[in-house]
Amino acid sequence: MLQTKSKIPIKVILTPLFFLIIPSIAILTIFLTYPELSKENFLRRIIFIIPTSIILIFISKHSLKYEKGTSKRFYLNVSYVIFTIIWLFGFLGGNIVISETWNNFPFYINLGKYVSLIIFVATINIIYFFLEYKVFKIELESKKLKTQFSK
Amino acid sequence: MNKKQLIYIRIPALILSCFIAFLSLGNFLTVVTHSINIDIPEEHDVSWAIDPVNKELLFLTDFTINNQGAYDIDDIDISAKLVTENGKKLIDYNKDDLVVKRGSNKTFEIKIKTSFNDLNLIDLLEILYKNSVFKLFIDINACYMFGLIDVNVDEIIEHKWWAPLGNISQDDYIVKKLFNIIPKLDNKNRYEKIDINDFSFIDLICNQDLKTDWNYDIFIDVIDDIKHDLKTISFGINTPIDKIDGNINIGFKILFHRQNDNFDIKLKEVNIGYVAN
Repeated sequence: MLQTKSKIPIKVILTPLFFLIIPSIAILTIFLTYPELSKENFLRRIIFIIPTSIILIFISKHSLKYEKGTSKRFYLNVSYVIFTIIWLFGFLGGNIVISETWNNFPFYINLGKYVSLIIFVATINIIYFFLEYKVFKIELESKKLKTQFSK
Repeated sequence: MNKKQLIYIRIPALILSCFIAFLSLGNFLTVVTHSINIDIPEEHDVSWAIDPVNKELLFLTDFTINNQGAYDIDDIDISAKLVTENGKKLIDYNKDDLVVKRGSNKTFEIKIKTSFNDLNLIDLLEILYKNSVFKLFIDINACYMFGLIDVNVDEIIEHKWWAPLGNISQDDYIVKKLFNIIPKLDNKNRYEKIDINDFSFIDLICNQDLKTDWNYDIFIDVIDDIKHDLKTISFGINTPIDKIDGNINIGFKILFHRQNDNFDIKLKEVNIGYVAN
């Protein structure tokens, strides 16, 4: 008998792709295209991106081990959202107000509203995971009851 | 709530997440590659002029916004404030709702003018007679990426002010002549009859120690024939002043009226300006 190959979930493929491979390539490409830009900025971003993306890959892989409706899966999903915000924050420079010095004068980029939008989207995702947890928890409990009755 | 209803939340959440990812990448490129850049004027980019006829003090400068980012820069608000050395506010200037489209560079002219009538006599005398340092506070606020990102620039330009009448005032003859002519210029009727001899002091102005050499140009700009015997003549004097690294331009517009063997000269406009090199 032929054994069926185990399917790799899309989330496990997309997480390293979107959080590690594509951003790293983008940073390296910009770094090589614009050698006049400060190395520190790129290094700071790389240092921030690599550990957070590894944590995200780990979370995405482990969250799929648990069934929907279990508290572990819910907590892992919420931590996935939180680490995504942290990752994004680091990717954009690690500060709400980015101060640059161009042509010897201070120049400020305020990302306040943008960060608020990110937090708003993250909240929607957390609400979704919470509702998913509630809906599937009921389903899991009813399944358990059914199996108990059948026994 | 059931599984089907969950999809109604999941779909917008996913769409919004993709939107954030898309914006983040565009924004990241803009921030990292310095695609948005503002060229703020430096001290030598600021020039001033005095218009004695309209009794106005003018400050001219400009700045350029280079927007090579993916989105338009809009709601650009500029405010400028000119302050004297001792903190006295001379001029307030505001300009709102300017736009720089993506992939374009735009230069905005800052033309700050104040009427001498708005200044008290002491401030006016200080401007005309005392060398000083003016501070030009420039504050620029703009929105980028659908208003989600605010861009802000604050700068103080210190501009050395060389009083236009500072050195002239040492000369009794010129002061006397000036006091003669200024009341005539003060008159609301610009066609006030002024004798050409009233301007003889100009030759002396150009010979002041402000100037390093004699090579000033007297040029006639335009002669407009209104009638055969009535002409408007625009002419000016341009003299370099090495000491302040610039040029003083004194411009006149006069109405020349010939009547038989006599003629009348009526002053229409006078302006004194300074242009930095």
